[in-house]
Amino acid sequence: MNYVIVGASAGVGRALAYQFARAGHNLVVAASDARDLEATASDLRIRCGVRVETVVMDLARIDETALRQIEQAAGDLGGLHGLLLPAGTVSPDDTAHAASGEIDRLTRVNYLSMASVIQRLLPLLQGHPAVIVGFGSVAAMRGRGRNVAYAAAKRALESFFESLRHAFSNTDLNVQFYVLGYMNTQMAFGIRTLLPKADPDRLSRVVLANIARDTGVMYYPRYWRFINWVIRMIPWQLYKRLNF
Amino acid sequence: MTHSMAEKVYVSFDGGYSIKTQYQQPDRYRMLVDADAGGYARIARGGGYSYAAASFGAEGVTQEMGSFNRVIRFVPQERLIEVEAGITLGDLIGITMPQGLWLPVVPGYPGIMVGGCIAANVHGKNPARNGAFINFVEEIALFHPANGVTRVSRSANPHVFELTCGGYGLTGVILSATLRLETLPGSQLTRQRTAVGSLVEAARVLRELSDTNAFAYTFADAVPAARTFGRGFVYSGDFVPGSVSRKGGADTYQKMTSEKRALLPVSAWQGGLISRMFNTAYWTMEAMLPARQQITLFASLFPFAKKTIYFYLFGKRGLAEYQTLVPLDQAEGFLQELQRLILKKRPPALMMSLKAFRGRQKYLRFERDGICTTLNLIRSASTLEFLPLLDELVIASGGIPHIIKDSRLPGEMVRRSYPEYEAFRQALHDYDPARLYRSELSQRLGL
Repeated sequence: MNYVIVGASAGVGRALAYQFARAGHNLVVAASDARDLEATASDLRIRCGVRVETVVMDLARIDETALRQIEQAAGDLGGLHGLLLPAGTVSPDDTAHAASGEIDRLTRVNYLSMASVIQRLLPLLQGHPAVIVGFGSVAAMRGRGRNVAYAAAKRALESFFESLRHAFSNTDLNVQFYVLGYMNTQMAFGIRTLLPKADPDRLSRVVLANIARDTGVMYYPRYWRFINWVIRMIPWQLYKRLNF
Repeated sequence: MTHSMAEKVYVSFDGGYSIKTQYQQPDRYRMLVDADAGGYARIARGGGYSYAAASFGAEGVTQEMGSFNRVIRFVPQERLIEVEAGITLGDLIGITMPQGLWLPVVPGYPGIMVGGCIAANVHGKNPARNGAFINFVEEIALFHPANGVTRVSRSANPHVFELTCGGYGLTGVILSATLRLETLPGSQLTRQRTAVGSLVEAARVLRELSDTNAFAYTFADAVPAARTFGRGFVYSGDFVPGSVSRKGGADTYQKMTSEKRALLPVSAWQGGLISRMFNTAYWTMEAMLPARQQITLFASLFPFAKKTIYFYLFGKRGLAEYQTLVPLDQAEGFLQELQRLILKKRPPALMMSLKAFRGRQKYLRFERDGICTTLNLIRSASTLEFLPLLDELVIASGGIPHIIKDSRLPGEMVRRSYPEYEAFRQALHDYDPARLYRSELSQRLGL
């Protein structure tokens, strides 16, 4: 089968690319840096013997050319069976006082560009069994003084996926959404977390194992579903006093 | 732009040096190459199996290279492979073996990374036949903030190539390397065990077998007991013709890090009695096995892949490994004198190994014609008193110590034993006047 992975050169995206290639799937891998992308694609071809196409795509500045390229690459594989969107970015400047340019960038990378890619590839994913997999964050559970624009964008993405799931509920297009807790990736490097950081390789195994199932919204690690429930239950008068 | 740093404690593999220092885990090129203009000292780290603290220190930031572990280009017909510096040898062999190719020079543990092999110019199981790692390096992509990414080889920037192979990571970050592979005669080898009664006898047998076998090395009893000291086996072997497996060459191995190695709070090798019992058990069990056995290439290349327990048992206090290369005409005298010294001073020595070497000595590379002697000791106060005596014996025998194997080795010893110490130091400063890449090893050696 053929899959597009956006953000495939590092972190969760890279782990997914290896997991799917090892299972024999052909890939279109997209990321912002050609050096990482080409190295990853070469390695996948040599180790796994699958077909891998590359598209250099900066989600902060996605344009018509990039969208056309990813559409073309997916079409070249001879049919598309899945779109995985594990890309995302955070910023230390993402506070209530963040500059508008930074808010714009974080919103584009974490939500708007994802929606554009989905919209562009949707025709290739319809009419046969296929899957779209989105990745959100526990940062979007409730708004905080940190990761302000990131959390807002991830909550928008979650809502967008809920709408997609509703829209395609009676079709062959399966829409899945993973809400990720702390992951052992560059995004969390050097940050002390209250709970352990999860392994991207393990997550990628879970995603591959679930790829044909109607899983809806999944939390990874799973205990985050309970934590999410608890956090949402905290009354505002108490919540506003918390510093985390 | 800089990227995240954190702090952690690094330990040299021998347990002799540890420090809490800053580190990064770059996982994309922009973090490594575009990161900054060189405002802080740094050093790259591969698998972290150096006995000396070559990839960390009190000054600067350690850059862990494990995410750069991809194969960039593999052309089996040309017998060339370009790999990123963070690929492990186990991975590399696993990729090349099904294509009927291999790298003849690899150290004994599969978790070691290619960047470290270049930086330490490591040797394999038969340095008399294959030389050192540099012989199989065609080109290196090297990053230094002052120069950007440069390609260095024997024809392009040859002086930087010479400084980088066996340069202990001090010329910059090795991003990738193109390696020349050899055709693999088979994936199975016959291993012949020859019993020897003394170190001198082992050296003689070793020299005869090194020229005609794919691998040849010895293990000898180094526990200071007159009756058993120096007894041992010479292991030699060659490929079984036509036994190349196309199914894949990688085998599983026990994952070990220098930090995990030091987890046991006490050493299990307490006192000479346990060491003697261990060696006696080893010799008895070996003698019960057939003298001629068939083994896989993986087992032959990586004898410690499934025997990491040996290192764990040294515990937090650690071990001391002394490796020296003595000219052929001095070798017998050196081995006799070494025996006399060990039996007289009775350090907590455990095992010894010999290998025959052939090569050209240059800069600080552990290479020359001669006999390589490796001595494993339990790290203790008496060991640290004994090693300076061994330093003097090595100097008197015209030998060189292996810099990467000894976290204690004084800079003065390196300066006295390596004829090109000053030439290396000068060339390094000419290449990089700011001396941006630093480690405890480079500071200790005055580089």
